[in-house]
This record gives sequence, structure tokens and C-alpha cells, in this order.
Amino acid sequence: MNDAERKRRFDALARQYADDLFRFGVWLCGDHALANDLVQETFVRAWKALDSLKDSGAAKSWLITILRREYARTFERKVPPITDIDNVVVAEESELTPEDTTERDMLRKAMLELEDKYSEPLVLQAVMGLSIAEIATQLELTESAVMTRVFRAREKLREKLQPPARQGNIHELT
Amino acid sequence: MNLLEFKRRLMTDPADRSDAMRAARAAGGEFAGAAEESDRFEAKLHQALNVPVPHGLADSIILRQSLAEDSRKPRWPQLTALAAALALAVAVTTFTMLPGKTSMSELQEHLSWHWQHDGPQVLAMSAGRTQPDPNQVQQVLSEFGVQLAPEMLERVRMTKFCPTPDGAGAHIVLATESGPVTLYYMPRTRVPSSPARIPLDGDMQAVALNVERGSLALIAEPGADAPELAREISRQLAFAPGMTI
Repeated sequence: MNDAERKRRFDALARQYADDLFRFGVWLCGDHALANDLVQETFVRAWKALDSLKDSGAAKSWLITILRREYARTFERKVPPITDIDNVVVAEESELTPEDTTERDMLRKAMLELEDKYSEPLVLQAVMGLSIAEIATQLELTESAVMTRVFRAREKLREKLQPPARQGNIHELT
Repeated sequence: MNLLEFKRRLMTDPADRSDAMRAARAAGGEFAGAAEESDRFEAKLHQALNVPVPHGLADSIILRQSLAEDSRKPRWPQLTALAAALALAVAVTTFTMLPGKTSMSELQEHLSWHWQHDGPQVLAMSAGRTQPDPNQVQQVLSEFGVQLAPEMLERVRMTKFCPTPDGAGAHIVLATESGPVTLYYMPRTRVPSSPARIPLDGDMQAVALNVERGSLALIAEPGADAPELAREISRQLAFAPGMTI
């Protein structure tokens, strides 16, 4: 691969996957600024190892693998436990109704509270568009384990959106 | 497929459009209700997970890579390459002891890119924050063999790792009397003509100066006395003796 071809390939990967990798990074580390650094470092490493990517169809999984390793290697130990939604979203323009915005924020908060073993496969599926089989390969799990985890993740998130059950007795007013 | 199995599959793989799932979706009644409920939830989940991405992220990645490649290209004639290779072999053995060689224009380019990349965002994130755990701040800085004096530590509102022209560094937001300021500590970068005043986008200004090991760049609004503040900060850095980075 000559220099120009290498650069074209790299640019195409960055344009196609940087945004989704950033979103995956945000939910992985729970911090907007750190996710940015994580994605930048992922692409630095991707550039160095670009010649090892033989199958362009495997590029997405390849980049996710780099990002996850980089996170484990460099960033994970530097991340304080974060459950503050302001670390995840800096500023956002939205056309959602106030009710939808509330639900969205509830879901985001619930995502931050999910254990990694549930949130990570869910984000790989819902954000990165990986299949159950691809997630299983990425996380070194069986497919049935992945299915159980994404099921539980959705179940837990859905519970958060349910209105709280009424407490005590309801007395009819006369 | 019965309703229970259909609901289970919607929860594990809602995008499944296999023949069996299509047939179940088209079956009407409780199946249609379950599918609609799942689609509604997935739409909400999609909205929640799709957090906003920094403007021009892909462009900044591509630009950064181009700059890194340009700086790596040889700038000497090929006839001297052998001699250079020998010199490099010697240099590699003492690499960790040597600072990077960054020109003023490269430094200016980097600071300009860095500020545009996330400067205002990080400042906005740190607004209204209380002091972070001092141990975490010192932990970040200790990666580079440097510590902040206690009175400066009290002013820190945020610390994170960041890129510099010569590897990783620290990005710090400090509370000052004239408002929050951004500080980049660049452990391997030397400012060729220190101190230097570097104009940035949005009327911001950077003051870069060398410290015992590496350099600082302080970014503040024009009203702030950035040169004095940068000097004050430089006096409050303590470097671990004999440490290499």
C-alpha cells in the first residue's frame, strides 16, 4: 500500500467510524472529554497498524478492539467513578419535547448506573450496530451470554421508564 | 413462535428481520402491540445513546495524523541518511532523557488546534465544579513526574490527559481571580523562544514558557495577566528529582 492509498484508507475510516466510536467511548468511560482522547488515541494506533487490516469489512470490529484495548491499557485506571450526566453530554441542541427530553435523560442516567457487563454489549449493539455473534467475539463471550446480557440491560432500562407504583391505599373521594 | 418467545427476541435483537420475526410482527393483536412497544423503546434508547459528537471530530483526527506524518518525514538529503541513522541509534538509547524538538510554528499550530479541539468544551464542563479530589489531580501529574503546590492545587477545577506536540501531557482548568484559565503542561516540549505570546481563535491568547522539565501553555482571555499567571504557576510546580518521562 503506498502512502497516498494508506492515507485515503485512513481518512475513510475516520470519517465513517469516528463519531460512533466516540459515542461508544462515552458510554464506556462515562466522560465526554476522555472519550475524545480515547478516540484520538485509537486512530493513532490504527494508523500505525493499518497494514494489518486486510479485510476492510472487518474495520469496525478492528477499531472497536483497538479502542477497548486502549481504554483498558491507558485510560481505565484513570477514570473516577462517574455517574454525572454532565460528564457525558456537554451541550446539546434538541427538538425533543420536554417529556421526551426527560425520558432521554432518565435513560442516560440509567445507562450510567448499569453494570459494564450489561451496558457494553448493549452499546455495541445499539450504537455500533454489531450483531450478537460479533459482540460475542468482541467480548469473548458465548452468544447466549450476550443475549442474556442485552436482554437484562433492556429490562433494567425499561424498568426505569416505568412510572413508580402507587404506595398505600387509594381512597375514593366522596 | 409464541408471544413469549417473540417478546424475548425483541429484547435481545430488536433489529432482527428474519422470516419468523417478520411473520410474528405481521400477526397483529398482541404481537403487533409488543412490536410497537419495542419500536417505541428502541427509538428512545437510540435518542439517549446518540450523544452529541464534538464538531469536526473526524477532521481533527485526520488533521492530527497529517501533522504527525509531516513532522516524521525526513528533512535531510538521502546521502546523509546513514549518518543520521547512526546518530538516531545513539539518541534512542537516551530518548527518555531528551525533550522534543518543536519549532515555534509547530507549537503555535498545535496550541491552536488543541484549543479549538476541546478548549471551550472543557472550560464549560468545569464551570461551577467544586475542587476535584486532589489525589486524582496529583495522580495525573505524577505520570509526568510533576506535582502542584497545595495553594495551586486548590485552584484546579479539572484535569485530564491530553495530546501535546511530543506525546501525552496534562490539560488543567484553574480558577483564578480573572476567571477560569486553561493550562497545558507539555512534559517533552520546549518552547524555542520562551516566553512566547501566541494568539488563538476567539481573541484568546496563549502564553508558553519553559519550565524545569518541558513547558507550560496558559490560555486566558485578553483581560487576564496571562504572562504573570504563567510565571506564578511555573513557580508552583515541583519536579520529581531524577525522574524521566
